Amino acid sequence: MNKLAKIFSAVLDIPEGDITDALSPETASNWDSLNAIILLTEIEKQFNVQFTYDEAMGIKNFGEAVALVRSKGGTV
Amino acid sequence: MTAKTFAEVSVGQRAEFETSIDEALVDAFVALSGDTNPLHTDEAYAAGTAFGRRLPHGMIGGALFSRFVGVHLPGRYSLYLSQSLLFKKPLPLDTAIIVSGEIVQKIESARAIRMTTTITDKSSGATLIDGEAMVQLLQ
Repeated sequence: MNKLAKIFSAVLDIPEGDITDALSPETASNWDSLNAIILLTEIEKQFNVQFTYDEAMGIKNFGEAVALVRSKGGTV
Repeated sequence: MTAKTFAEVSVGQRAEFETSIDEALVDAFVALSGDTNPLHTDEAYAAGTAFGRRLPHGMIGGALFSRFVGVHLPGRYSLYLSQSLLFKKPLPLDTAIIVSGEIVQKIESARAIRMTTTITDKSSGATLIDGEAMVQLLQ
């Protein structure tokens, strides 16, 4: 999950080593409304995938982002 | 008030409104912000600067962008997420200015749009302030 972790690390400004499946807006103070949109656009661009609004809003933590990208055929 | 939903906005859509800033508005902004810097409040001090007279606060331009997003485009359903500002030239007093914006990106997965936002001097066309806004739509 290096590629996805690198995106989260860069956007949220946290070390890759601190990124676990449980990482969420509740545990990462930088995971705010604006950064959530930047995360979505970066993930969509780098994995060449497209999320629906409902899919994107359903992401509650990093682990769910991994699962969603994989469900779209992305190799995280 | 415009009330565009996310389905109704598209890249390339733009809007604008004309307004001007008078001394009463500057005084109201002083009361609102507490920014009593003499460049904005003291005519004698301002006359001794390169500008020659007191200037409106640049952040009044920020307030005008708020009006643009909240009322004009996209309007009613907007949730303002971010706004960058570049103060290129001072806002003039008692002069017609145009506040405008254009949608440059539509982000389906977040129901958000990215817009360029600009304030220009109506008569000269000079850009006074520009920036970029990120706005989510609640419907």
